[in-house]
Amino acid sequence: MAKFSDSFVSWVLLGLFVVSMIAFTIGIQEKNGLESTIGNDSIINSSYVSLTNTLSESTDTANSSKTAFESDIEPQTSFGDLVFVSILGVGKTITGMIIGVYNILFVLPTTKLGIPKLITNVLSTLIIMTLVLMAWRVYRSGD
Amino acid sequence: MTYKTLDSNLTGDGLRDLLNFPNLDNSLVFYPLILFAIFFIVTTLTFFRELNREGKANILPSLAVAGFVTSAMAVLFSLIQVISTATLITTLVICIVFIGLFLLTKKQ
Repeated sequence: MAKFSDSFVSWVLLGLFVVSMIAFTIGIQEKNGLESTIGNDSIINSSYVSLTNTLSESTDTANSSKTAFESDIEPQTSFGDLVFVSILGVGKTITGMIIGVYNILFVLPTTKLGIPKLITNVLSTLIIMTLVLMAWRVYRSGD
Repeated sequence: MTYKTLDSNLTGDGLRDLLNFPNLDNSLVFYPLILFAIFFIVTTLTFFRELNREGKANILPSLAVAGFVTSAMAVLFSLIQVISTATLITTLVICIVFIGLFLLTKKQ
């Protein structure tokens, strides 16, 4: 049976490959002045572009927090507020990334290749259950 | 059916006009066929090369490599606008599927 670490690395590699491939394609097309890029496609727009928007928002928030932290201005929010807002921001970013990569890996191929939605749902349920069970096995036996 | 001639149908003298000439008769068929030929050639080339050298071969890495090569060619074709965006996205999707199969199946 496959190890959780191997599966996790494979999924991360797959996500990185796909996102970088789409980013490369959109970047090349935009730099060469093409009017209709693959970013205009509705599914890529709803997955990849929302993913990059979430990351851009996080970058802006992190930069403003860094500027506020380095300035001599007294903090306006309490310590607990800062901690909870930070956790929520990180959680929102990670959730957006997971949903964006899921859309690229599952929704895009099934829509373009005409695979029925039932099969996609069954497959994604099996994969999610397998990952959960693998994570549980790591917790129980450390394997 | 008579084929169109270059001198009466070539509107410009750029590379794009020349390469787009097959699309005048066979729109959306010629370059997807070229892409499929590239995919098939690279797949069989890498597969049988590995089989010849190692005595055994795995088809999934060959398909993944062919997917990368075909995607690169599709991006180049899209830059000179001889394939549509739908064709490019379909090529990328096929590449994603084979990379996923390669990375997520058990390694030998």
